[in-house]
Amino acid sequence: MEIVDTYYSKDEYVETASGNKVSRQTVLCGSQNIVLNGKVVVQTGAIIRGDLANVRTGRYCVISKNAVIRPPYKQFSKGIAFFPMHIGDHVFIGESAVVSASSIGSFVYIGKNAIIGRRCALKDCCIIEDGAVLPPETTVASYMRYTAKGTIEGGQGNPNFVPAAMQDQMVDYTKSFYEHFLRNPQAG
Amino acid sequence: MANFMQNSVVSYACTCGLVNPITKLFFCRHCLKLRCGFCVCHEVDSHFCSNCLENIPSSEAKHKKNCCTNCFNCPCCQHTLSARATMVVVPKKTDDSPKEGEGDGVKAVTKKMYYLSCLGCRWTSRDVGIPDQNVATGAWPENECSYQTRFNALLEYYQAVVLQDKQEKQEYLRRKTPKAHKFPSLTDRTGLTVSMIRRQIGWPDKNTQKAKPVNITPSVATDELEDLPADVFTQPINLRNVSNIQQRHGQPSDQPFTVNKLYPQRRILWIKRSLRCRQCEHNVIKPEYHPTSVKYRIQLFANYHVPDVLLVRSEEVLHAGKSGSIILKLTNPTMHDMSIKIKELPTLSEELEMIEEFKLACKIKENTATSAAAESLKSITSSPSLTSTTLSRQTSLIEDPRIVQQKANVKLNNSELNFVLNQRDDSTEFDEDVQTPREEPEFIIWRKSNKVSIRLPFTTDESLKVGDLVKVGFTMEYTYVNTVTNTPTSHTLSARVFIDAGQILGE
Amino acid sequence: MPLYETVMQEKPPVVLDIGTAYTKLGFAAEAYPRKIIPSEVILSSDGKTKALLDYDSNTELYDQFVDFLQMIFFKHLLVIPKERKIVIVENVLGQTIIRETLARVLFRHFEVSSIMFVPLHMAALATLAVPTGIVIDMGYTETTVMPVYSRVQILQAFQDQAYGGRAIHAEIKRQLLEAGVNGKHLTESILEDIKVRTCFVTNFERAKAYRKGQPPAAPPDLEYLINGEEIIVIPGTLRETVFEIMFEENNDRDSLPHLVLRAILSCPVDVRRALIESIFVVGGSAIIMGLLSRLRAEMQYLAEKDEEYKQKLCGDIKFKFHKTIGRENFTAWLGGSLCGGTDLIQTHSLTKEAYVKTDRVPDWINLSDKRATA
Repeated sequence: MEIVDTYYSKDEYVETASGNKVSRQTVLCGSQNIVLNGKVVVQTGAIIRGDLANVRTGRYCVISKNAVIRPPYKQFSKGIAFFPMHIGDHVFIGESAVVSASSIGSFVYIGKNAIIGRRCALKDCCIIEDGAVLPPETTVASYMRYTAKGTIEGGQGNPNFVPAAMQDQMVDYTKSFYEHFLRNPQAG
Repeated sequence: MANFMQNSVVSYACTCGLVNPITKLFFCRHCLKLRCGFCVCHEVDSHFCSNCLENIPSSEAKHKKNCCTNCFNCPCCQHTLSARATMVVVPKKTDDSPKEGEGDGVKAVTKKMYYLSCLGCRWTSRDVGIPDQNVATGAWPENECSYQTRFNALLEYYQAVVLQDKQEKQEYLRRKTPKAHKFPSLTDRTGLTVSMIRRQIGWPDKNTQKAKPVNITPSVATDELEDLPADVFTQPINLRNVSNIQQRHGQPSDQPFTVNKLYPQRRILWIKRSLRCRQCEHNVIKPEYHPTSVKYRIQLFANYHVPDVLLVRSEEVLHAGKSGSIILKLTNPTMHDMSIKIKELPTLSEELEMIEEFKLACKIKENTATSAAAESLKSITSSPSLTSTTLSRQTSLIEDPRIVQQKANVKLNNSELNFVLNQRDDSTEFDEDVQTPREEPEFIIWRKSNKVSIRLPFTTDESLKVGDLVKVGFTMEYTYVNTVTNTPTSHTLSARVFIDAGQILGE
Repeated sequence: MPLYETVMQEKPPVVLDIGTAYTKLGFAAEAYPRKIIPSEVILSSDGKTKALLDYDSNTELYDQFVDFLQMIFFKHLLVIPKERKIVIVENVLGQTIIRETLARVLFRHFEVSSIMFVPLHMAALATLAVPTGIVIDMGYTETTVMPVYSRVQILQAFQDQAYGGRAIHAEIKRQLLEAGVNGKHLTESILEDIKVRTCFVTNFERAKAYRKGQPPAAPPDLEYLINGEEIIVIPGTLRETVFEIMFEENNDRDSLPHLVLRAILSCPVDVRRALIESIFVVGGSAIIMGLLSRLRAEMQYLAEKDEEYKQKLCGDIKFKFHKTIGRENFTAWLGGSLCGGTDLIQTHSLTKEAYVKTDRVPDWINLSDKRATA
């Protein structure tokens, strides 16, 4: 099915010069440390904790409602230090997901209510299913699907769990999501 | 796709008869046919560890029993273990004689010792009693198989027994059927045989090496069995100490009953697969060698070669027996213009004919290796690449294609719809939307560069009830330009498309 | 160089033991299977998980086998099935459709080079290097008893009964429902976990007391946590009595000790003594604590006191049991691994060429297969 146009009202979302569509009802702490590279959609209720460390996202990312993006920490004998977080291009983060990964590659799909533990590394083209819980410091390799049960399936070349053309599909999906997320044509 | 994880409503029928959405399909450029995961041949391309993302050559993988050397899994929850460091104060005796006024010569040195710990369930290697190691990637001990020697003895014994059996049979057959010599040999007349001559000269007999079976002690049955321990009736057990089935299966050799005997297991490697078309033996997908790379060396996905059909919406509420229509969006992914014809699906008899043709083509390919066969092959299948492949192959059993299980329960109103899809031109993405006035057939609603939106009217089947799923099916014939050979040739290919149009609502 | 060494340098054959509940997989000439996985398949068509041997039509079984074997070859064993030799350990009296479909999938879809079918009971006995014995395989769906004398299976004396893991799970569920536990939590995997971790087979005297209706002091109750949500209490009597269904007296006289004794009595007279002194219990359900001693006690009692058996089994009867190497649940696989490591795999396998000619697997029940052999 083709994505239908969803509309937002002008006072709800701000559209920046580089094309980012950010809702006003988000909590963006430390916004000088947050870099949204262009054409990123941040929906209502999202929380991005830029005050702890740098957060950088790539182009055409989608951060859905009530998602939490929090940079990971590491405990030292002398205390806690927060590490910067890198998110690649064309990443879709589902609703109410809590993401503390240290790095997310490009073309990644994170399902809703997923919990990504601290310092996880998600490589390119992987899928995290809805409701999955990743323990801290897990690495999800490319073309792997992390299931809600906690198992890893898939692999490059396996047509079953992660589609082989995942890259193109995520590009299409995030681009059409961005293009169909339009401002309400009524005035005001 | 409204939701990425939702199953696509549009699916294509592959040549083997299975129905898949276009994301799971591949296109073989040499046979010009659609292939799916079922009808291609899967092959192992490279091994890598999904945790450390290290590529491991296949010979080493075989030697290490397909396990990574450095990464371990927690035996309790099967997640990855990470090495943690602790500082340990180790008293170290120095050899130098103590200087005056500095006390005795024992100095304390802090060393970093490592232990494995799981961040998912807080299991540590100390729970099993593995001592901490000096190096992070140190040699963590593995549990040994307690009966390995007995097993090796049994294996040798059986190998020897089978070998002896084989030799005896060979001897028996040799003695039973004497070789008929063409020429009479010297020994026939005189009665001398080779073995007698050898004995006279003093040489040892030929063929004396016979495998002597190694004797093995058979297992002894005993009638002294362990009775139940008396405390099982009185003592409460702590379920936390008893291992469950997954934990036991993680260590197949001894499957301990208690948790404190579970050792960390080495992490199993993963593979990258390459897919190969069974008919023409060309690769359809070949991923890159490096574990972190997501590119492919060969990528023949169906969405690069077959027009993509997307369901935009269903225009009216669907009723049984009445007509409805759906709006489809077709995309041309190739660099050439395509002319598309939408027709009814083939009937059952036509499908069976297609299957028979396919089987005949395969049989001809197997049986003959002459050019005459190549000629007849060309006429039936009309694909240029088949004539060039080697026709002599070992017996290959190809599965018979099946009849497509999905059936359409609508009838298309128009018998045929013809239109043209423009080629894909990436530069027009940035151009303004210039609508060139053209004579368009009435079913085309919207057109932009290589995309077209059409309305497909149909009549649903009378017999459908409320809540039944309406399936629209049609054959899409499209022209495809094959650029594999030096001179691009144009072909008309067909694909069968099935669409879930929604449910029947109301009378 | 001795002939058998060349066999080892090639790719080792794959050994599979596909059971109803668990599948044991690995390579030949290895001492333990690489993996023991549940016999469940994730269908490639819709992503749902279902039991492998739960099918409605032959094509469904074929597709399920394709998906399952693909997972085995590419996720667990990491080898290409093409041109590889396979050893399958199977029950000689199992369903023919399973064997035929498996052969068809392996030869047509995966193009393996040859399959060797190894009878389960013989393979189990091979791990002991003993030529005679009565093999009792306790699996998930059923328990089968097969006497083997001097390396020949005595098929006429084969016995089987539907006591297995599945029956035990049903009994646990019944007792828990009686005790008032909510049934919706009691899935197969929970029941299996309860069986494996908490239950045991009680001894003969206590069982007799239970049957008479004077239960002795029960073992302590347990609190069991389900999925981190609810705590249920497992009564002590449950822990002790679920396995009683295998030993219950009934009019058909087909409880487990009766099965074994009947099998022995169906054999010719001269082999019976050898069989009595060589009993071998294998299979997943045999790991349970207390089973062997109880079985022996029951059989001893029947042999001495029961009218029918007392007359037929004369003399000093002493039942003797073998101990397995490794755990009981993969003993049959181990036998397959031993067979696959020898030269038998060259001579006794069904090759692809032979399969193409006939398109079926030669079966011992089929007369046309028996005629050709000298």
